[in-house]
Amino acid sequence: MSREAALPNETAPDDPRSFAEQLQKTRQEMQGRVCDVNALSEREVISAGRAVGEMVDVVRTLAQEAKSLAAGSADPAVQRLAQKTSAVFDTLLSTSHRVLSHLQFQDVVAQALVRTDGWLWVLERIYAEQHQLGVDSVHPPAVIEVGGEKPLEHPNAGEVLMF
Amino acid sequence: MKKVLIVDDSPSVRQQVSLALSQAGIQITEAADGVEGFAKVASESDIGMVLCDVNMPNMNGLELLEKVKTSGSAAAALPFVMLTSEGQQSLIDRARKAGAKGWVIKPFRAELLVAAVRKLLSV
Repeated sequence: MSREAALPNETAPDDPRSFAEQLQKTRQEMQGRVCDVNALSEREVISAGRAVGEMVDVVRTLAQEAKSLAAGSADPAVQRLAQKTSAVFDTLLSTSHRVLSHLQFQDVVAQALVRTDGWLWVLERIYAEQHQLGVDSVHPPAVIEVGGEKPLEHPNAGEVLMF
Repeated sequence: MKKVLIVDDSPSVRQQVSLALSQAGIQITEAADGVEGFAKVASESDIGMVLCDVNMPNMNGLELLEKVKTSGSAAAALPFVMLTSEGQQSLIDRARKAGAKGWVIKPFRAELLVAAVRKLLSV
């Protein structure tokens, strides 16, 4: 559907039912785009996560081999190499943890995008109710959140609250 | 060692949790919603705990928690930690009342999550 076809006319039609239909059509189009964007960003984030995991696995293998080598060798150079490889692995693991935290931005953005659909759904229902067009005919939102609205950033994010 | 069941409708979140835990040597299994999660805890005896999102289609995380805890099966003893972007006190209270062991607001910090999982799995 073209952008022009999806958007309501600049001047709303006099007939409330026609306007409600245009609103519905626009929101369904927007819902589809939001789902497409979320699917695309999710695929990219998963690829990035996979790459991080592979990198950690490679360096872990290297560190284990260096450790085995050092266990059977009295050569100080081999010992130093094993220690340094182990330190590199620890650093990489810690960095990968931070990357995993950052990659979670995608889930927050995805939820926020879907929430806009929910807001428009409420408006559509109000409009339909005011004009007695039947609220049950309004196209449902993509997601209904438990607990309703929430902030995008929570001050206690990341903390583990044990009961 | 027992596995951790990750229940989340987001494949990317499941992957991120899975990476964090597997890098710490913890085995995982996954479910995409509460219905699939319930089927897993009912059929897989090697699950040692559940990390569970709240907002999910079909059956949300709180419904799954309550269903498992009142099932009367061995799975009712499984520790649950809710991993969610929700921070509402009423939801946290509902989870605690239903028998959850913890609540983590996303985005999680891998080292803290791994520590909590180790504690609950006693490893």
